[in-house]
Amino acid sequence: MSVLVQPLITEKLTRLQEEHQQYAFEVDRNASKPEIRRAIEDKYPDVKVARVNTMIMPSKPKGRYTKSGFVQGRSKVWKKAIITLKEGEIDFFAEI
Amino acid sequence: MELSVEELTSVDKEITIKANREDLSEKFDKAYKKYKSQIQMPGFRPGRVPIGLIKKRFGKEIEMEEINSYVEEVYEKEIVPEHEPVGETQMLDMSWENDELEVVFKIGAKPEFELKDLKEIAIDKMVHDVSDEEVEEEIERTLQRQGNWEEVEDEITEESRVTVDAVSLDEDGNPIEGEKDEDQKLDLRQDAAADFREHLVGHKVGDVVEMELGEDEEVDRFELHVKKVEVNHEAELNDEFAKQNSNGQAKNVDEFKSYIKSQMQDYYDQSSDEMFRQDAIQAMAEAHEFEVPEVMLEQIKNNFVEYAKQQSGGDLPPEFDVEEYKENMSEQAVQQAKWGFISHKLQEKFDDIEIKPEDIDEYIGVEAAKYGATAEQLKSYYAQNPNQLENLRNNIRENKVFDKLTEEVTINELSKDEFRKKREEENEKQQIPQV
Repeated sequence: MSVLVQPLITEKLTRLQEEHQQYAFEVDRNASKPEIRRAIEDKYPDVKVARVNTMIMPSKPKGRYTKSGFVQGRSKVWKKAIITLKEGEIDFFAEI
Repeated sequence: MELSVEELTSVDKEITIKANREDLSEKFDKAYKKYKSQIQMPGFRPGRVPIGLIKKRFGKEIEMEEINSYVEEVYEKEIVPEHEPVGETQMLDMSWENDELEVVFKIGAKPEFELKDLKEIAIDKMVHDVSDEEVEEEIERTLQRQGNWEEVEDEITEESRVTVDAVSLDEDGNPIEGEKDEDQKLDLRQDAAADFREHLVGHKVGDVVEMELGEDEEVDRFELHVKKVEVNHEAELNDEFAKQNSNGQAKNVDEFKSYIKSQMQDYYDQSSDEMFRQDAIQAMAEAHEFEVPEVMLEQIKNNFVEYAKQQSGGDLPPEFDVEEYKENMSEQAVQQAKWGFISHKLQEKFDDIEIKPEDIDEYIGVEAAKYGATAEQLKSYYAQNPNQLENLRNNIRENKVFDKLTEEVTINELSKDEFRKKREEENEKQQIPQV
């Protein structure tokens, strides 16, 4: 199982990218900061990571109405990593 | 942006448009701004998606769209007013590489030519007055057609109608199973039945006649089982018959004769008019020597193919060779294209042509009769379809031009026989195989 699950692109994170060279990823729940750093530097050879911040995004109750009434559930718990770069930049769309 | 024109022939031109990103950047920026407010992306509020992101994700599509509209714009604004293309413009090539745009068009230009003196152009026209003998013949034919058939036991004569079962035979003379045409009616008086007449005359009901059709290697052998022999009793020419066969317009025999005569005359006049029209178009096209743009010919040929498609009910038969068909039609296409230009010139020449409301009424009346609708229905149809209305006007204008043309050109009036003879001679001269 790879450490990096998917890059995150939102309005707020785009601002972070532009202002602080910070990029965000959804990462494996059990990945440690050094593992994430290694993974990033493997995947994008041109960049140097300065700092990795992680946070566990909590589960929240989710529900939706269906034909047979209200279905209740919870969103999964996941880990978000915000990576500050020393040099280089990441182009998420180069891969597509 | 750069425009370069290469003249292939006097009427065919190749136009190349070259442009780079600078020429297009204004359009691109506008498009990105437009899309910025429209694109919805998860993680962003509407209209807040950064342009850089849009460029990266949808850049290619958006730019391609803008390039298309740019090319269209250049074509409409620069090429059309300057070169006045006719026919369907073809886009031969379009590329957008390394921020360099190159588009190649092939257009047809209006050919330059002068109208000949119309008086020098001679066109044959068939003029035929229906004679009383012809009327008699026609009435005779009608009587026979309307006559009763009576079944007889007699021998078959040249006047009989015979019902037979035809059984195909193989080379040894044995019947081939399944290849049987039952109850075929043969009218031996017709020319088409000449072969059958030869073999069948003298036989009776129940006889089996063996015969061969075809020549040399392609011989079909078969047996004819005679099932029924009938003779025709001509209908009697009386007032009742006259009334029935003229939709009640003729009350007695004399009126019937004049009715038939006027019908025949109408028919001759109409077909003579049609042939004259064809001949006139041909003569005009031959009299004026000029080149026709290739793109236009291609368009006309495509129209022919479309027409053939319609004729065969929407789809072409599988063995239909489009290329061969186009090749065969090329002469006609040239003629039609030439006529298009000539008729345009004629319209300029006779610029006093006006379309009056009563012309439209008259035309609609004729059209309505053709399609079996009322004039009112057609009118409302045209009111709903402005494009068709334009067509209608064009048709009327062309008819009027034609009338004028008829007044100007020299017309050779020929009798029916002379006309036919001349036609045949011409056909022989051109060695067109008659189908």
